[in-house]
Amino acid sequence: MTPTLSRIEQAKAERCGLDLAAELPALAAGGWENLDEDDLTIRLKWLGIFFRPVTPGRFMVRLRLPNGVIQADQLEVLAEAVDRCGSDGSADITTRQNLQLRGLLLEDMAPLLQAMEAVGLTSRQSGHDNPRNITGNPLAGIDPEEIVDTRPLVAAIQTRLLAADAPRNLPRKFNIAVGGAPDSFLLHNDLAYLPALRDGQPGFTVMVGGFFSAQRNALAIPLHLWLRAEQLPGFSLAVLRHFERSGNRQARNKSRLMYLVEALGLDGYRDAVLAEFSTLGGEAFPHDGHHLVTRAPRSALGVNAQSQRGLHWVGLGVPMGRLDAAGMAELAQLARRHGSGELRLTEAQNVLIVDVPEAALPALLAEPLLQRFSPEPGALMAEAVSCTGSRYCSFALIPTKTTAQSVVEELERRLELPHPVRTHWTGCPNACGQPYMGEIGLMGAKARHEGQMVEAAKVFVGGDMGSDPRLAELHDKGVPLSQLADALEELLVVRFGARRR
Amino acid sequence: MIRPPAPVQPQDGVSHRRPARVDAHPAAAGVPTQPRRSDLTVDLAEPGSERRWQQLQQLRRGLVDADAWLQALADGSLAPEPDLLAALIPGLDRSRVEALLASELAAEPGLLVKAALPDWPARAVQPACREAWLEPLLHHVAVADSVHQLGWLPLLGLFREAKVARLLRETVHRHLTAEAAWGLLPLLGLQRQPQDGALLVRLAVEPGPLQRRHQALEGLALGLSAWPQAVLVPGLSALVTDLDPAVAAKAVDLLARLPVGAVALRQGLTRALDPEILARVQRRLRCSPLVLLVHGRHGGHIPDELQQLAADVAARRGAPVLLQALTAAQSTPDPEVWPAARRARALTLVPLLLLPGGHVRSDLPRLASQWQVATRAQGVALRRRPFLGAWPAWQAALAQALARRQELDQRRALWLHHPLQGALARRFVGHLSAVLGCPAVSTPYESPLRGLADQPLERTLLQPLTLAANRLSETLDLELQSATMAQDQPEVLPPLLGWTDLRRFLLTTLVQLP
Repeated sequence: MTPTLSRIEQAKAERCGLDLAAELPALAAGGWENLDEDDLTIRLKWLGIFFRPVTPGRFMVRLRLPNGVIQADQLEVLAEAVDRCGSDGSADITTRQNLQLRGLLLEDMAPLLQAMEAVGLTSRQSGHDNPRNITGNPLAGIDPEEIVDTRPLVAAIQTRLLAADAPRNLPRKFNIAVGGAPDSFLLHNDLAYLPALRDGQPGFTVMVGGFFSAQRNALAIPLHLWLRAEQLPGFSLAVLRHFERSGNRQARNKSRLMYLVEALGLDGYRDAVLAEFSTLGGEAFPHDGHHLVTRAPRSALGVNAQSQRGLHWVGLGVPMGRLDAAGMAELAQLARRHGSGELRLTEAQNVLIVDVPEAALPALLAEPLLQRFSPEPGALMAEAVSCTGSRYCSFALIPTKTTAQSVVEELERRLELPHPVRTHWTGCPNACGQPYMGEIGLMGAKARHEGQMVEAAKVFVGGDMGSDPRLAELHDKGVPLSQLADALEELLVVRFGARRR
Repeated sequence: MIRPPAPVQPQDGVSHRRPARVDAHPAAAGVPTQPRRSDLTVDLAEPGSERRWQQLQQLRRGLVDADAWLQALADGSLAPEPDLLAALIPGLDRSRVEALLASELAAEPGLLVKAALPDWPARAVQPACREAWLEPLLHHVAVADSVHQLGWLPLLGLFREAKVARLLRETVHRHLTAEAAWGLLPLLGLQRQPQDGALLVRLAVEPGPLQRRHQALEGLALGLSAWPQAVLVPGLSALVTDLDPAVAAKAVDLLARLPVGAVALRQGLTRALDPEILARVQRRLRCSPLVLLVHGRHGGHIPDELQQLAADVAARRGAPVLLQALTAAQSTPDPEVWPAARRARALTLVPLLLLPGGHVRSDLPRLASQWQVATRAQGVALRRRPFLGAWPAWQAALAQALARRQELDQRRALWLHHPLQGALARRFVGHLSAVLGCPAVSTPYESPLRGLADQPLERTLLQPLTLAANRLSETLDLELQSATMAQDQPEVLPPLLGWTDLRRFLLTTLVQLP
């Protein structure tokens, strides 16, 4: 008997969200409250447009920025869109090297998508059950430690997966990443390609099944397959086609790839994917799963010499990854004025200006914007990652970004740290802020304090993205936000070698 | 009845609930009349625990039976915590909603509204939620007193429905000075009833509490495409000069989204605006860079008046203005021109030439071709305007200025131009003379008075047809100073950019070009 489709699956099967693109002007004229509920809350996400219940009428657009690369002209188009929203507008750098714009009206969508297309940007299939923005080494092509330039590989995978014959109705979202340096930690992705040798030949070992959720968190495991670089697009397509056909569509909380791997067994899953790959003319090679990723990600902040002699990248800390229109426009100007006009976004929600000649460094470092986006932020601020929080997300139990920023600033006033400490802040158990990856992870919660229910944070400790990766574990099940700075101060002193000022 | 049990304050100061109180006849008390199942037990985990979060997620997604939870609320064994109510409310059908609204939990709006509101916008568009809530809530609000009505309307207002719009409208009118009612203005906007556009515009524009004006403006934003343009555009245009920068900024951004808004914004460029608002208007308009082709002087020198005009135009447009002299070699655009042209996707060529002489007929096409090649290489369009002298509005402005001056001085005017070749130029001169209502005199640069030898010059105004001082105007001045003439010798009028009205016309027109 065919299982009954859930409401979401019915909506997806009924119509592809991409078909709404041509109707956007008419939909805007009618008002969002007139939209079919499935169009509003599900299908628009195929165009990268998100209805936000916390800000009804003010929508979000999530881009696709393969490998986190963006040009000044492109950033200016996005800055303009945010600027139009006045005080309602902002943009967040995401943990997938991506940007999402907030505060937009439905009327803004058609012209914005058109303007984005004119400068080579797209927001297509960036939400819901789609292959999300594909990440790569943020230093690709400029990294003195680079193993392989991930930019063309990421671009080729995206092109293949957004082609007309690629899946458009996956059972669940799907994260893909390509590693290109010894610090490319990617095991939180459903499908990760890590640089690896086979018989001395460079290529990639395949890791599958990483994900974080409210129910379960898992790091990707080796599929024991090895691929040449040019095989990645085809193999990605094979994995997605198999997932589309075989993934769990009955229970959304058990539909990420890892559940399918477990259902088939690793060997069974591998055989099924290889069979799919062979229909595309592909052939993968067995591999022991060893790879060349050996340590935790670098911060990439500050002035750093590129692999090209005489050129530098300057990494700027963006507090909690939140940008406003003026900041975006100014970043674009700086990239054009002092570099090649290219910028990179990192998974730590920071921004890099690349290709800065030696002679241009003093002028760049003297720019007023660097007072806000410092190349040398404090040891906590540099590595603080945060989800969007309750300002825009109805799941979040706390205002994550503002809380994180104020607590981090307070801790940096109180403490001296011998090295950066990576804190990951998330508003609810859905774990968008990846709390299990932080040396300290914070998760929004409620707790009883002095007889009242108050906003609080669970504290996790011990996440490690190095050679022996592990997820952070629960340390405290609920610290009221009013006491969080004190609790973290103690933790940093005892566990991380901080000294009180 | 479902009622929130009163908390008992024990010795340790920690709030506890009384033990669960089970109504003997729940159906009679308004609790949904589902069969009572003995296995319905509610064991809600501690606040902040992951288990509670998962329980509430299941409840929210309809994966567990809501009746047990409702019953537990009714018998007091569960406290009406906001997170529980927030999870419970979306899944209720109409009969349960009616029961809930009839219960003591709904005696005041605060508890339920606070719990429901975060998810309500997404819920209110769901047919099931609308079916369950709209009519019961309308009825509930209709019989509530005005204070409670205000409390419920944030929920009700998210249902787009004529009856709700009417209720919102009436409430806003009744409570114009009540802060609690101002938050209803965005909801009124969401209703998108065209007749409310005027009210929202009025509340945004007229002096009043700033918060109310902001909320009215947000109402206009959320229903933007629904409002009659005849009401909306003048209202927003007026707000562009508002003293509150946030109001002015938002008005600019809303105007920019309207099909006819660009025209209103371009008009705004010539008004006295706060510098930040002017910059915002400029960002919205993305005016194209202008290339002003001018006659120039020996060696390509461009008179100060023209340079000042270009600078003023550039400052108002927020886009580069390049002055190119016909007498100079092809100029190199400053580095800002092409990025600005790419942003605007165009570059505009404006020949500030007054007569269709050899420059217009020969040099202009040649220079335009060069710009065509350059713009094509940059991937932007070249917009060409006719030469200035041919603009009817310019001719009218010139005619008006000359007429006013003739009337004021009680003198007749002659306009002077250098000799022109060809039939086209002759026809144009004849046409312009007719428009200006005064005759033209062709006269050589090197000796203008020689060209005027046949003219009676007493009580005459001489207008050299040039924007800025040129050889003709300067030589004419010199010749008149040295000539021995009667007392009523002719007066030479300044070059046209020296006329306040004409300069203003030109500035305004150039500033408002797309």
